[in-house]
Amino acid sequence: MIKETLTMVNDIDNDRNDNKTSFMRPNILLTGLRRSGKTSIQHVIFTKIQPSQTQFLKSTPHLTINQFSCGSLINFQVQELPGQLHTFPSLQFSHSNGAQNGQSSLYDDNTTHLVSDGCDIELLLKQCNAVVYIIDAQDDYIQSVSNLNMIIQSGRHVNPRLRYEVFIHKVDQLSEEAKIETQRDIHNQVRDHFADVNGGTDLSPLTSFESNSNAQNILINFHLTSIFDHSIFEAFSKVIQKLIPQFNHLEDLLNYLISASNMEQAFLFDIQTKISIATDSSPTDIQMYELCCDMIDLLINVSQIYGRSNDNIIEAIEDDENEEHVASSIHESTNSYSNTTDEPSSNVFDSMSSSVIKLTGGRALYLKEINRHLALIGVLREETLSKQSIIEYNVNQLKKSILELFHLTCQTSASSLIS
Amino acid sequence: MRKKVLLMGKSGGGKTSMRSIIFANYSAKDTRRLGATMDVEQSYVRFLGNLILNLWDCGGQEAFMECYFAAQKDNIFKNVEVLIYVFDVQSQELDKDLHYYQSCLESILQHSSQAKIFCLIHKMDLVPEDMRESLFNERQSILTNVSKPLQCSCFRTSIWDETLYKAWSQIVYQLVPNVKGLEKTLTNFADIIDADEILLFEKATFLVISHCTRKPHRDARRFEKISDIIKQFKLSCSKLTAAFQSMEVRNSTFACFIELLTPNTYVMVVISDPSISSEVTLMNIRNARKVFEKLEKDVSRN
Repeated sequence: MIKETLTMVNDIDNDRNDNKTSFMRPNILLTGLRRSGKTSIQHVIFTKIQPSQTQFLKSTPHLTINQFSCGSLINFQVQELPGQLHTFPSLQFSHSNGAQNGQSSLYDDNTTHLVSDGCDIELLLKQCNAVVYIIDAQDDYIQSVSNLNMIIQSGRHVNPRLRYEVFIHKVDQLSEEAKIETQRDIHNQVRDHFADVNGGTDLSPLTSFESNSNAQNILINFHLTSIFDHSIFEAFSKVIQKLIPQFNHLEDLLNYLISASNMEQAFLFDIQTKISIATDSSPTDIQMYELCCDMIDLLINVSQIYGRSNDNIIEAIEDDENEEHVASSIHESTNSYSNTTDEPSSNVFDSMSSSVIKLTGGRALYLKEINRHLALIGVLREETLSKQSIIEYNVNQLKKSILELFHLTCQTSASSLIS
Repeated sequence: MRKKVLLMGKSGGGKTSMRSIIFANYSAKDTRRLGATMDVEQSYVRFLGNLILNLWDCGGQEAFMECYFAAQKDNIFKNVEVLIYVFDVQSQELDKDLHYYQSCLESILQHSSQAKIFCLIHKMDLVPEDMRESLFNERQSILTNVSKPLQCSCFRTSIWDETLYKAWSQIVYQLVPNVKGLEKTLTNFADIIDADEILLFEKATFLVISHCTRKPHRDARRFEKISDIIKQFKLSCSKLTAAFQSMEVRNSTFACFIELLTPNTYVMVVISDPSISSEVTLMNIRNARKVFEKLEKDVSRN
């Protein structure tokens, strides 16, 4: 095994554009104008910062890269690119992977090249799998949309299969009608821009909050988000679900589970960030999603109080010092006693972590640990719970399958890089 | 059984917000929309089924305050079981606040000398953390002195953390009939089922009214934290127009069961012995129900 790893390391440098590498580590480019909310979004999702504290965050000066992983199973890179884009006409630049001649034929002499803060946008676009573009809905967004159009234009040259996810952000203050209106407006602006340039595009009409426009192979989705409620988590979940190569398999597994165990819905959540990385195929409503997030909070909070062995005194004392500080921020939108570091959550969430909550109206929520970072949450009828042993057996099978799936993925990627 | 609870203090101190969170399922954020209370707002809160808390939320604007000690004095200060006086920690007029407080105490001494007195130093979230302890101690000693010969219990509170639940738990504990009998039965129950800890909550407010601890725990604030955690989850459920009935949380070191015990109380049982299966504990709780229900009935009959 060790020899193979060494070979793998050498190969990575040469094969930066190789699909298999990005298969292992999907890359998200997070960008948008200044003050649109990019850093806040990252902090709210990936660290335990309270949404109201994000106003104290400093402006991000340059390209920052954050890794996000559920153990070694799912790895992401989120590249946050700040600020304004500048266009430089006919700028010569070289690709460090040595395929310069092949690349330059894609460009005319008159093509403008996008540069932001010294970073070459096209290079970034080529290497990423999805662009998450944040538009501040509370501001005048015309410039933001034209920026977006420039990026899409660039992206079409270098990476035609690139997926664009537009977060129409900071919508918590807008009314329902205003939200729909804003989304329609932005969608139209993008459509019109590419209709003008290429003549005769055929975008599908806006029918719901998420629209897929497949004209000219532009894959673009719109989401209405805010860090002050769960919408940002839901939107980010959808983005990530599309990027996980195993998503289809996970969805199939969850479908099998709900039909075999007579469940209504099943979600696979990352405990730390409360992003759902997979769901079954039935339609989900955001309230159930929110309730599942709250259930995770409940589990972790109660486990932190009662679930620690008394031997861990040092760790307990440290946490007590942090508790005073943390407790005062409990009533913001995320109800969480966990600290900003990873340790406490994963410490109390162990292999036997599980929870069952029975609601009035005959429904129940069933949570079971899958691995240190993932939990399965199933929504079922209370009568189904009487067959708890069958459900437990099925969930165990699911757990084994998921772990095997990730294990195989790792192995396949590793071996294909070598060959 | 009716018990009268007076909620007094200067205008803007937080009385109505507190009462809304504890008794009316408001979240801390919701309280922003509350306006000033005009005159006295009386509300009747059913607590533990047969106990009715008659809350007198007395608007704190000066015009009203003057009235309370003059024309309305008899009406307000007679038959009081509990007086809760709320001090806004940020108040610039400490002397004036104390003056009104003393007037209240005089009236209480005159009309309801047996009343229990609680002083809440409220809005502590606005004080920097490192100063909270010392500031509270300072205020506590002032109030204890001023209250003589009556005795007062002081708490520091904020609607933004669990300290609110701690104070109100203690307040309500004073009002629960036969609380000693309840505790004895709980201890018995805990011994039989080998539980580490058992908490008894009032159903609507999730305030801890009784507990039995068999295994020492290092976190002294866990009761109010649990109240807070469960209350928050309850509020989330209500968004789905559902409520939770029971829950079980476990990991490799513990198992915790929250179940309805009597029509008015919830019980939380914490067990760390991994060999005891869930079904056994749930069955034990089910069997215990009859005992506790009988206890409640006996008390109400008396």
